[in-house]
Amino acid sequence: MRQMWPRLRRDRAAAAGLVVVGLVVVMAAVGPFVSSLNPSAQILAQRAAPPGTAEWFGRDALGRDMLARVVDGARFTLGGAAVATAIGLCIGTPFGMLAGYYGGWSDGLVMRFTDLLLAFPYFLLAILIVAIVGSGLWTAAAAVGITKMPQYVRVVRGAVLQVRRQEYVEAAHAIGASDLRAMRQHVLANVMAPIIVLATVGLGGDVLAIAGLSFLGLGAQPPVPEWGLMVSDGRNYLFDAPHIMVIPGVFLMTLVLALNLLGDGLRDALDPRLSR
Amino acid sequence: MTAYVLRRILALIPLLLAVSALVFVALRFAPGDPAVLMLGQDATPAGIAQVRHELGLDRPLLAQYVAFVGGAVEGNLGRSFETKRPVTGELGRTFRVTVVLATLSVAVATIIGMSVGCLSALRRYSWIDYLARGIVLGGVSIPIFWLGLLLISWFAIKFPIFPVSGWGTPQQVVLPVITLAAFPLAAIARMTRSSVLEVVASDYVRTAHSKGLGTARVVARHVLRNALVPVTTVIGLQFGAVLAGAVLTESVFALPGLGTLLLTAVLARDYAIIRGAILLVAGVFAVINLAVDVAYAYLDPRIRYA
Repeated sequence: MRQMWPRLRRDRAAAAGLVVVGLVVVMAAVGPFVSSLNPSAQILAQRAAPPGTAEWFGRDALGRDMLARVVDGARFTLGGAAVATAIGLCIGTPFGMLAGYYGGWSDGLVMRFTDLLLAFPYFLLAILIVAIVGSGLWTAAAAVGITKMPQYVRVVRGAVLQVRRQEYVEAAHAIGASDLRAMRQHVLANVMAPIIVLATVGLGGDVLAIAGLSFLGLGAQPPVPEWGLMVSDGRNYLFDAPHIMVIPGVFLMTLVLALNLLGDGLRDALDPRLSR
Repeated sequence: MTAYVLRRILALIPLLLAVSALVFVALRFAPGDPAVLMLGQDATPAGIAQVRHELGLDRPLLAQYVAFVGGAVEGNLGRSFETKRPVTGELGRTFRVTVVLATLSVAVATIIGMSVGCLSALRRYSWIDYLARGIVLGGVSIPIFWLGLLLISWFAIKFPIFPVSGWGTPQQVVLPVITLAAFPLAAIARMTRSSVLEVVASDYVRTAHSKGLGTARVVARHVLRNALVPVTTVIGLQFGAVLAGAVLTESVFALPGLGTLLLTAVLARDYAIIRGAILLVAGVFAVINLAVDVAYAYLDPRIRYA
C-alpha cells in the first residue's frame, strides 16, 4: 500500500486520469454554488441555441443553459457511481469473507447464489431489478451495485482463502481473538488491495451502466441533468441541434476514460499480480 | 470429453430452474396485480377475480411456478399483458433480429479486435501499438448509445450514406453493428495483445526462432495457436456484453429486436414478456458459457476435464 503513490505518480496516463477525475469531483462539489449559472432557468426564445459566445455550450430544447446543466449533472453521475460501488462493496465483501473464512455450507450457499446472479448478463440483471423496484437514478445505481456484488464476493473469498491459514491469523486466535476480531483486524487488512483495485477498475463501467439505464428512461428522470439522460434528450434534435446530444456525451466519455486510466494505473500500482 | 459435455448439459437444467424460480418469485413481488394490469384501470372486482382464476393467481405460489415451468417446457410462456399475444411468438419474432445483430457484431469485433491486438503486440512501442491502445481505451470508454447517435448524425444525416433507423436491408445493419461491436472489439484487442505479448516472451518461441523458423511461421504456428486460448474466453464473455448492449443499440436505431421488446415491456410493466425475455437471454447465456468451456478444452490439449 505504501508504495502505491510513487508508482501511481510515475504512471503518466494514470496521473492524467486522476487530474480529470479530480476536476469532475470539484465540478460536482462546488460547481453549483460557485457559478452564477442557473441549470433550470428557461429562455424559450433561445431554444436549442447553438454553442457560442453567449453560452459556451448553447442551450437545450427547453432553452436551458447546457453548461449549467452539465456542471449540475456531475454530482448525479458521480453520486450514482459511488452508490453502485458502495452497495457492491458493502454487501459483497462480508459475504466473500464469510464464504472464504468458514468454508463448508456457508461457502456453498454464498457461491451458489453468486453463480445465480452471474447467470444473467449484468446489464440485463440491472434492467430486471429496475423493472421490479421501479425506475429512478438511485434505484438504477443500486441495481448496478447489486450486479457488481458477485465480483466482490469472488475476489474477497479468494483473497481470504489465501490469508486464512497464515500464521499471523492463527496467532491472533491463539492469543484469544474472536473470529470477528481476527477477520476485521487481520484478514480484512490483507484483502484491502484487491478490493480497492476492483472498486476503482469498475467505476468507469458503473458510470456507463447507470448512464445507459438513464438513457433508456429507467434511471434518472427529467428534469435531473444526469448526463446519460441529457444525451437521450438530444435524440430528437439530431438534425437541427446536434450539440444537445454531443456535449453531455463528451463529458461522459471523458470521465469514463479518466476513470479507466486511473483504475488501470491503480491496479498496476497496488497489485502487480492482477495486471495483464 | 463427451462425458464432460453431457454432464455440463445436464447441469444446465438445475441452473435454468433456479434462474426461472428467481425471476418468477422476484416478478411476483413487483408492485401491481397482473390481473389489474391486464384489464386496465376500470376493471370490475368480478372481472379481476375471473382473470386471476384464469391466470392461476389464486393458487399457491409453488403450484403456479410448477405450472409455469410445465408450460415453459412445452414452449408456452403465457400471454403478453398488453397485446394478449403469446409470449413465445413475440420472443421468436424479435430474437431473430437480435441474434443477427449480436452475431455480426461479435464476428466483426473478433476479426478486427484480434488483428489489432496482434499487430499491437508484435510491433510493441511503435505508432501502431499506441494507435491500437488508443482504440482499445476509446472502445471501452465510449457510451455505446452515444456512439450510435454520433454515427447517425455523421453517416446518416450529415453524409446520408446509411439510413437513420429501421431493419431489413443490408444498409440498415451497418451502423448498429459498428455501434455494438465497439466494446467487444476493444476487449478482444486488449486480451489478444497481452496474450500475444506473454507467448512471445516464452521459451518455446525463442526456441522456434533459434532453430531458424521465419517470423511469419513462428507467429502462425506457435504464437497465435497458444495466444488464442485466453482470447476464446473473452470472445465468449463478449456475447453476454453484446446481448446486454443490444438493448441500447436497438433503442438508438429503433430496431424490432429482443431489447426493444424487453424495454417496452419494462416501461409498460408487462411482466409476462419481461419474464420470458430474461429467461430466454439467461438460457442463451448459459449455452454460450458452456460452448466457451468446451472450445477451451478443444483449443488447449493441456486442459482435460475429467
